Amino acid sequence: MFVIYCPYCEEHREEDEFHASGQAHLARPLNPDECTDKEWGDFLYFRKNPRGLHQEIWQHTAGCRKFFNITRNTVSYEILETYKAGERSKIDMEKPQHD
Amino acid sequence: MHSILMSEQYAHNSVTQKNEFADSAIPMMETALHHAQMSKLAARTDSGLGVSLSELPMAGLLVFRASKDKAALAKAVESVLQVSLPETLSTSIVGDKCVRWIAPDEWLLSCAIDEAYTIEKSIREITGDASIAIVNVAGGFSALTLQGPSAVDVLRKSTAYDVHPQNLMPGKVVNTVFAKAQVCLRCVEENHYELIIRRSFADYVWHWLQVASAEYGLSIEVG
Amino acid sequence: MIKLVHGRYVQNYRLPSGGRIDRSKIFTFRFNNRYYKGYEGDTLASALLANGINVVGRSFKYSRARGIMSAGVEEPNAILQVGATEATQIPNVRATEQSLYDGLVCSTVNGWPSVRFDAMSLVGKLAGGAMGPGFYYKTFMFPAFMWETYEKVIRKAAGLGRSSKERDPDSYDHMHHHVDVMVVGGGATGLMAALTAARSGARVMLADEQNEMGGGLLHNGVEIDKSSAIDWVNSVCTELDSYPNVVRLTRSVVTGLHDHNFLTVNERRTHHLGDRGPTGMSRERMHKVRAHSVILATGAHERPLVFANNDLPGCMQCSAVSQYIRRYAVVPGSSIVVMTTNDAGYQCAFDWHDVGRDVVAIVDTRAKPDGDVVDKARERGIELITGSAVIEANGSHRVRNVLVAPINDAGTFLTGEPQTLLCDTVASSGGWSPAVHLSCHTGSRPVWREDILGFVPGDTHENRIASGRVNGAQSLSECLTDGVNAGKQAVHSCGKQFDSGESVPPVPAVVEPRVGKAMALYLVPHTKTPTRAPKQFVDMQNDVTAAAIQTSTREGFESIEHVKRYTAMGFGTDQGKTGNVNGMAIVANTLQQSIKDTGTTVFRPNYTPVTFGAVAGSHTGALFDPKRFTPMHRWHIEHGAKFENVGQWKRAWYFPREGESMQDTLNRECTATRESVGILDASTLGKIDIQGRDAREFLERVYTNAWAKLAPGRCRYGLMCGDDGMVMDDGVTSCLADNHFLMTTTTGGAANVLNWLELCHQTDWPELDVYFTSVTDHWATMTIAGPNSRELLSRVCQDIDLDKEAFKFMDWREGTVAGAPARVFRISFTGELSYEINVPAHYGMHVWEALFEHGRDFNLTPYGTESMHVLRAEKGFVIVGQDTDGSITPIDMNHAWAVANHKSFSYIGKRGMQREDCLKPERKQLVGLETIDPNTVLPEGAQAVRNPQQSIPMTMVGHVTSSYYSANVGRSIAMAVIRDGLNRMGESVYFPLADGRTVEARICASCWVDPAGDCHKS
Ligand SMILES: [Zn+2]
Repeated sequence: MFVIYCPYCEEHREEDEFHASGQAHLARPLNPDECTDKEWGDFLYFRKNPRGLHQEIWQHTAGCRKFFNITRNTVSYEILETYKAGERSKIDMEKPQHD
Repeated sequence: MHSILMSEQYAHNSVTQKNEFADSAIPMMETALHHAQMSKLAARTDSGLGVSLSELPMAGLLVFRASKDKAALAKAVESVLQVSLPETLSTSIVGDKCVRWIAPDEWLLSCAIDEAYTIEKSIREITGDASIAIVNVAGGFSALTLQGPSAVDVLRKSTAYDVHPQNLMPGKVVNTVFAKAQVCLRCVEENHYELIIRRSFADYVWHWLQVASAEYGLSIEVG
Repeated sequence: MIKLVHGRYVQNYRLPSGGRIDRSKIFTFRFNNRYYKGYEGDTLASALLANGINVVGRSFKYSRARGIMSAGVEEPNAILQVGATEATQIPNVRATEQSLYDGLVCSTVNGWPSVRFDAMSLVGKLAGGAMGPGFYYKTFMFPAFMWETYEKVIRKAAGLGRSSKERDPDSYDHMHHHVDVMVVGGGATGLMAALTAARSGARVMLADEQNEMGGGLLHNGVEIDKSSAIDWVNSVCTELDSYPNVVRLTRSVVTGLHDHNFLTVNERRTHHLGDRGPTGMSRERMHKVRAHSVILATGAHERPLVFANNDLPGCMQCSAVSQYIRRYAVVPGSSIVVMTTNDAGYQCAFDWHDVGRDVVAIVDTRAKPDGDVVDKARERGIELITGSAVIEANGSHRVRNVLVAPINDAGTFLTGEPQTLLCDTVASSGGWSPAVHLSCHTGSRPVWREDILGFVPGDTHENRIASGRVNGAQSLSECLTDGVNAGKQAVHSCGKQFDSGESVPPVPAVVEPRVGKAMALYLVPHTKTPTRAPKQFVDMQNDVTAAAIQTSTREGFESIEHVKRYTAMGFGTDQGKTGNVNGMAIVANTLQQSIKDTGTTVFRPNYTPVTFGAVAGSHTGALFDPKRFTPMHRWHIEHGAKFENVGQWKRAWYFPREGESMQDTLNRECTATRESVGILDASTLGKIDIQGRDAREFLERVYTNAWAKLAPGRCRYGLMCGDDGMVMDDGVTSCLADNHFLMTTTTGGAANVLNWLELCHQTDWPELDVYFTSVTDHWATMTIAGPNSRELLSRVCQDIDLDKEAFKFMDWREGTVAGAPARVFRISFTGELSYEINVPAHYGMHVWEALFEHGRDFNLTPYGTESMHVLRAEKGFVIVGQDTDGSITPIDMNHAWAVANHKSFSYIGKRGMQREDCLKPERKQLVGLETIDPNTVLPEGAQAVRNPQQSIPMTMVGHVTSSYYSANVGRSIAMAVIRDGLNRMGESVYFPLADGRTVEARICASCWVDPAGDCHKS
């Protein structure tokens, strides 16, 4: 059970108020009709599954209903930051992490 | 032009009013827990127990929405209701009206049921073309109050939110999980909480509260 | 029923005075159908020992007699079935953890037919042969049927306790807490830490598994600040209880320490009060605690030494013996041999000696022990045999004698002949294993410390402090100092301060003896090798012997995790609390490597077994899942409705009258609707209010069809797809004003659709000016359908012009229905003339009843979801989620008319639908089906084949999605997805059913009633 800081409610809340919605920063291609099947397939189905830092989008379903991003470590489950949809991460995702 | 629900021109205060059919000009309103016959239960329970519970009578409920034109909404609310739009997780109260912060672009006003129409109309007039939304949701919720020295213990059995008086203090409002339903939970004053729950979940929450309160002694009050 | 003669059983092993028991409160209890007596303050274990009960169970695999070995949660043997009635049965209760109460009824779980004479013991030896190491592993490798056979044998012969077959009459609940500092364990360290933290004003919780705080202080007889340790414990507890922000829980096991310092604490609230708790009080409460800082002060468990027949009743931990004597005034025998590798083991000999019983000898495995205790032993005149070990115990149901032999300094072989010592009790101490379990629950691995011969908690990024014995502290003064420091550190990490320096409690003064160095010894050598010597048990509960561990290592299982799974070591309900380190040491020795390199297995939640009741809490029975009700629910109940679950909603399914079968009811409801007028409670439909300048643009993007021209006052069917082009939801959306729409969704899809809209808006198109608000619960929705619906509506609605030209099909109007403000939508899911009346939920019942008042003239008939399904199927209307399954595009669904490809924005689903796979021919398409025999109703889900004569496995070409008997059509009708179905009208497909029949059906258009659509427009 995580405890997650909602950047909109500005409080830490228990995980059962939230719903995870998968990998963050997946932008729908601006002109889908020009995408090849492969490009569209990549957007639709291919997701990262990293060991270590990962960015996910979560929704504060039982609270403010807002979507926001989480950077967390998939090994230690440590949450390094949460930030609003449309904002940028402050974490260097390339930097190697300790488990 | 926005469409507004037709005027709620039939004001009623009593939920226990005798049901009169069809031809009556005054339709009968039922709160979500009408079937629980709270007033009969109230007559049968002792007062002054650990927890007392009441279902509030039908009230007007309006959802206000505004993001980029939040200032316009704030101005209109101030002018119509004489309160400011509350900040994050807080409430603004004047008389029987309470505005609750729900999200950065969402607030919930409760007022007398017969006032909602006028308030909506006035705010829409003042905001004009601004990008705001108002939705009448009076029928969508049930409002309960939980009071007494053990009210906070009942909450601790029901929600993972930190309801310690140092965290959920008078004037604060949070949306959270309550048992397996959701609640808009407000601390009115010490040992006095308001729970706004979706109407269809009211019977479930009512049942839950009876079980959770049993060990402290539950009295029913007429709201 | 066994008659009790009171006073027949005497507590022969109870001391005349002393102990933390209340001798004025005499309890009678029943063990294996015999009655015994004990006192308040006893555990079940201490009461059994007081009555001289040697054998409390039979072992799992070898069916050997077992007795009580410990005095705490680590107990592997005394696992009992407790409960006076069938309904109150609790399996696998540790007698050492169960407080005694009057009337307690318990029995052994794994002795059949009795523990004294076990018919299986002979067979058990045989079965033991068949159940060597790797038993689990090997049987799992066999086909499943083999395992079933094995399992039956094990369960019948050994038994693992049984659950009640009746409903548990007790209640359980949960409670949430948020604290600054959570202190786990109420021994010296934990009390000191909690006291320190509490003095800062922090919110503190202190939990201990025992019935009172104090841990080892309750029986080790030390002094703190020159008074008895128990006085000190009491004064700390009194101070803690005076702080409003401190919660102090006893009988509460911290069973799990999860991510982000979330702890589950299982409080046994009524287990000590009786077979059933007092009414209104939950039996167990699961506290769910979120802590900023966690202090682990979980202490340590004493390791018994591994020697031949070390499982005989009478073999105990040294500390357990002390605890029974001092805390419960029970001496569990008359003559004792104490074997120890360390100074701490001496205490039990002293305690035994103090109460006037015979201490045969202290056998110290060290050649030259030099601590203060050695002199004390000599002063008392106790025989001290150094450089030696108890290599074997003998006896049948109780130790009769032991073999003691000299060993080399490393403890690896014998250096002389064994001598026999007579005794009935052997206490052993191989050192102490820190209780690191909780520290492992989130993945941290414990670290071996050679200086203390134990594992201590490993590193973690979480805000946790291991303190006291669990972190390797050896003396009481170290523990107390550690506790103060941990408390201070935790307070500071919460950003809190102490008011002044004086607020931090000083470390109390204790006088401690000089302690000699302990010896690393786990498996005591024998004259024979482990495989030939009598069994040397490592894990008592799972009957894992030293020989089995050596065998598994020789068979190639070198990783400790593999050894664990191969031998089942540590798999019991005790999780190997006493045996694991011994097992690891044996593996390390066999592999000739260090324990550090061998490593430890990781402990997982829960620390002790948790009942299902505690896990479920109050979320059982009617509260298992929320039931959602419509505003008219009461009416449905009063009118005999049967209900069906649609998500969490309870929807009226059908309204049977006396004597009707379900089909009779459906026939009546469906024909009444088509002939006159029916009414459906449709309040559960999802409804989303959409406002904003870009509301219309937003609809264009999320629906597949066009919204640009929908005028206020008009409604339109909308179809929604996911990015993959598959149908996600559908419903009617109405234009309330230019910038204002009301979207309806399926009942089950409401929450998902709202979240989907929010996701699209918040992450993809934040620039659009649009707001979504759920109004599902705000509106009571009732659909009146049938040729007389207009007439009926006119009786209760005077302010809307119902003329068919003024109020057309797919129009909506605002007005008053039965005096209530209403929105009326002229839409139809039955194909009939139909109105959907929406009024605020608080008027729902009133309007519904008003319609029935006037509906008498039209035989207004309530119909439920089942008739709704039949009526829509007669028209071929789809139900998303029933006729679609996430693999159906609008084209597959024969809804090409609802796809607008000319829209300027590439709406969601458009690109997905155009993927190669979605365009290929031979996709499954939604069609109608008519069985050749009009009375045969196909089962939903039945699989279609083109040729029923083909060999098995047949090529399946689709399946039935909806199937009913339609009274209006006078035959069965069905819908199905069939490969290339739309191009195969009139062809037959076949349904080979599970009952052996094969049903032939012809593909047809999926509309059986009014195909021209005259009715709903009339
Ligand atoms: Zn939030």
